[in-house]
Amino acid sequence: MDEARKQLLLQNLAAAGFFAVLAVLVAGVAILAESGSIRREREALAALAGRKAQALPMRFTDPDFSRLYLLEGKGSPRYGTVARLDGDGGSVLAALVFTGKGDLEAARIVGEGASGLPFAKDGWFSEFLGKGASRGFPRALADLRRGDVASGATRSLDDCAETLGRVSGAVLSAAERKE
Amino acid sequence: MEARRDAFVPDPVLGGLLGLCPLVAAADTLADGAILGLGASLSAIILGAGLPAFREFIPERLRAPVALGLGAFLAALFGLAAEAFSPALTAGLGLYLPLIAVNCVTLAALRRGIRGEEQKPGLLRSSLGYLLAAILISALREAIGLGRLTLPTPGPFPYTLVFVDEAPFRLLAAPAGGFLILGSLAAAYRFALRALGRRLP
Amino acid sequence: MFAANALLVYGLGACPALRGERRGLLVSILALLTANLIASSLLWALRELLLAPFGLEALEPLVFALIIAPLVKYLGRAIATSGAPLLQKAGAAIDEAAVSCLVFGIALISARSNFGLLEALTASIGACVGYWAALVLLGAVRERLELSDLPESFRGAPAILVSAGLMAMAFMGIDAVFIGNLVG
Repeated sequence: MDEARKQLLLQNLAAAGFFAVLAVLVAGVAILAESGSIRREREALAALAGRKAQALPMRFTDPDFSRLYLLEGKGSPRYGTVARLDGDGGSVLAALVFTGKGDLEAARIVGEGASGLPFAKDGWFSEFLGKGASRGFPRALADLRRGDVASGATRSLDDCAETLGRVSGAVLSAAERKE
Repeated sequence: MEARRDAFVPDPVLGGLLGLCPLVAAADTLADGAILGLGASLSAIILGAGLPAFREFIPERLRAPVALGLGAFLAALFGLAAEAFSPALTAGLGLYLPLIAVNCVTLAALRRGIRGEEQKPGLLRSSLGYLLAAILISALREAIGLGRLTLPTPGPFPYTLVFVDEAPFRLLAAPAGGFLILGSLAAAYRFALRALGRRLP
Repeated sequence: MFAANALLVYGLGACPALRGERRGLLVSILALLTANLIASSLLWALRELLLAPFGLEALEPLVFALIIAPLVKYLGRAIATSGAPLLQKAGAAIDEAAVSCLVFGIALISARSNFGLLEALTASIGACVGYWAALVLLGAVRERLELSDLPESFRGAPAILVSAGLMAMAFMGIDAVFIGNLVG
């Protein structure tokens, strides 16, 4: 190998090494940040469900949520997640508790991109809690037009239903895997 | 007077129409605009000021990829920092945080840095100009469009000033409104420049 | 994906669209399509196989800047140095597009939408076609605007921005609900 080629190779290796250091740095910070957010999510879910939350060792590539938590306590196990719900005025982060059958049981907003979003208004969550997943959500399109059901924009309700459906599916597959 | 004219740096957004992607779509609240603007202008300043100092140590062939990698590194770190600062705000920004790596303003600073052009006052002015324009545009969109202003405060619930309960002009918060506001501001900027007797290069 | 227009809804590639280079629009869109297909599939694969399982999505920009953009750039240069003048133009356009918010943005959208590889690629093609359509429409509007009597300050970029805003309003109507109603 002549001198020039050696030099080139060395330069390339130096650059690659430099980038590897950068990547490891970012990955390290990312892992730190992740452990912080897992702690926050566990606290939020434990407070909402009144049970101990434990992160399940699976990750989802869903744009709106990435982790599921097992909430064990009296009775059948519950599952929880903190998901992003997107509305047209901004997004909120909501702690969601599901039964093993994939029904939404409890929800609470744990962070919002701006205040005054439709999700945050009273009655928005409570109205559809308890309506089973098997019956579809919302039960009928006509429901959306009733002010007390959707105090916010119907569009955000619609968007949110899709995300909740995906979480519900993830919960079902996790529950199946557990059995 | 001549010297001042030479030092004139047009605002990168309103004059140069650079770095529009995040401003048109994602920056629909003041907090979003501030975060995105800060990310792009910070990486532009760091790259623009840092690269000329280091370019001697990097062989010419590798300068562009190394600079691009550094820009991506800064964008990745900024994304993580933003998430730690306010998870809820960051969740709404989605893909626009990684996009800071290829923001035109950042890229322009990066290119000038690679070429080793001395540019400290201009760099600072155009980066701050970007930040200011981002804040102005997002604040206008949120205030007129949604009747509120979300401040970039840390924590899960950012502080919001609410002027009107019902969104008065929701369209402005949508991307269409972003284009409209940008266009009007750019026209106003040109008008002001002409009134001052300056011209866009 | 066509309705969620890359330019008019996501604001991607707004800067080149407004600079309004009209030469070789078709060539540049083909170049964009090639660059995007490569970038989208690479980003999708790397994200799905490497980053997401370990929760390292934060590395996305690094992956793009260090792996995807250089590859696309290299390909563009390879095409540019081979033969026909049309290929040269396309290669140069690919080279230029490699580092842009349009390519990275579309790749991010399609990789992050929970799609399979095929869906992600379809989405990315759709996004390119949508972008192209928006460019052609804007080009036509620009030609009309040049002939019309506008206030001095509004001439050029501001008028185009406002027109893009009006077009984006039209695109807001063509959304999922509209298409849903059409199909039934």
